[in-house]
Amino acid sequence: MDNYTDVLYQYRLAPSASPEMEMELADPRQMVRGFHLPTNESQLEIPDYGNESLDYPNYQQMVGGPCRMEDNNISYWNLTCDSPLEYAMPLYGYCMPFLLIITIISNSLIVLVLSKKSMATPTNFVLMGMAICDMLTVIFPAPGLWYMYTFGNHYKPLHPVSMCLAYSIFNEIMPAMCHTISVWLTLALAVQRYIYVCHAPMARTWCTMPRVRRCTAYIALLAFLHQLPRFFDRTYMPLVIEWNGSPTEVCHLETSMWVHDYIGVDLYYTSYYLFRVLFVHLLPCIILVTLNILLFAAMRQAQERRKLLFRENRKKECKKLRETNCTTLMLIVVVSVFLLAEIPIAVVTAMHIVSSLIIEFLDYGLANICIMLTNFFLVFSYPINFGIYCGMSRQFRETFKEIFLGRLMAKKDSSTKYSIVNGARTCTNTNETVL
Amino acid sequence: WEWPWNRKPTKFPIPSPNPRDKWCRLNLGPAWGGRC
Repeated sequence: MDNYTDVLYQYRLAPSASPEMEMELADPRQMVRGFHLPTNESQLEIPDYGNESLDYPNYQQMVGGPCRMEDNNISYWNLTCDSPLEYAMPLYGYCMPFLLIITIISNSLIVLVLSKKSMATPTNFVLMGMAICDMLTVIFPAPGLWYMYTFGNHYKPLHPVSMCLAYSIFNEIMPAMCHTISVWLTLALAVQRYIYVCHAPMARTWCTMPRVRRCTAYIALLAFLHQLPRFFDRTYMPLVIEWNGSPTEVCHLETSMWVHDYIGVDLYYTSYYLFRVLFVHLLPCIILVTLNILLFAAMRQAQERRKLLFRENRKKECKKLRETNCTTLMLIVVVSVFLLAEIPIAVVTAMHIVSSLIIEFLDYGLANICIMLTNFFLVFSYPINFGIYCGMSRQFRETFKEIFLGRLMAKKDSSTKYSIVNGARTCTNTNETVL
Repeated sequence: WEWPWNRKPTKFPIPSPNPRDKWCRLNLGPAWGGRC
């Protein structure tokens, strides 16, 4: 048979098919009793992929789980087989809703505070972009995760085809896009801080608001383009099965024809994963670590200078230096949290490329658990940013108080919203970070 | 041209074993793009 075969006609008449063919299946969770094609309702069967076929239900079965969401040797999309349930249920189902609420509250507050006119600096603009993207990273998949894991509907086959597409867009593509924007904004923030701290004269030309806005727009566009092929790289084939006593149109996933025709599955997935490993995980991590080391060195130097100025009783200059230091320290904390989440993913994805392309060695059961824990850690870290800003930026706290507790509560000397490191503002009386 | 959700595959390649299967064993979770 030609490799390029008409799929609808690959469902060939089963030799043993009787008009009332209903297959009793071993797995009670499956509750599938035969399938029909939407086109002609014939009793058909699917081409044999061979014993080496390792789609994920097969994989789950292979690693010992009872998961087998397939009918007559064709798999269909079912969340029970998508993630290890013993971890997915507590993390995605029970903890994630609380984290979602906390993230929405904390990041909305961050956006509210940073969007105040008095807080409008290039650094704050990037931080605000990060807060919005982080929030969207948890908001997009939330309805799907609630439905599947919190309310326990994961065992039901995902249907109809439009729902499979929606689930893929909102639970896989959009969060990944938002998180990629957030990663690149973190990088932009570090570069910006590096310019402010180590090449201060350049900051007046390079770190202006219009430039930062343009840069943020380019980052968002690039992240969108990098996820664009994912909207089209798989085809959701409708497959009618009898589920729970009624015919249900479920989705069988296949890589789209254009990938097979023009690129090849191996080349396509290698390029996609390699791009992510290099440009979303590895290079940002390397650049961030390098910049952090440089910033840390500059911070140490500034501390020495500060001590000297303090001894000489030059209080004003001393305060300016302290602001720079706190902002830099804040960045170091944000970046360290970022590295803790990104490095495991970079390593596992690189191992996945090698394992799929060259030599089979990766334990996917373990890798998927590790990635799920990292996903959880990432979402857990989102509200921590709020704590970091509050704890380390007095200006943030003051603006927060101004907004929520009224101007009376705010300090009278809060005229000082401009950092020397961030733009043309008057010097502040505060000794803490001014973003 | 059709919207992806309206598309019904007519001709479609399914080699055996399906090369997609080995690539889609990793589930990157929501933040990193899920499963391919």
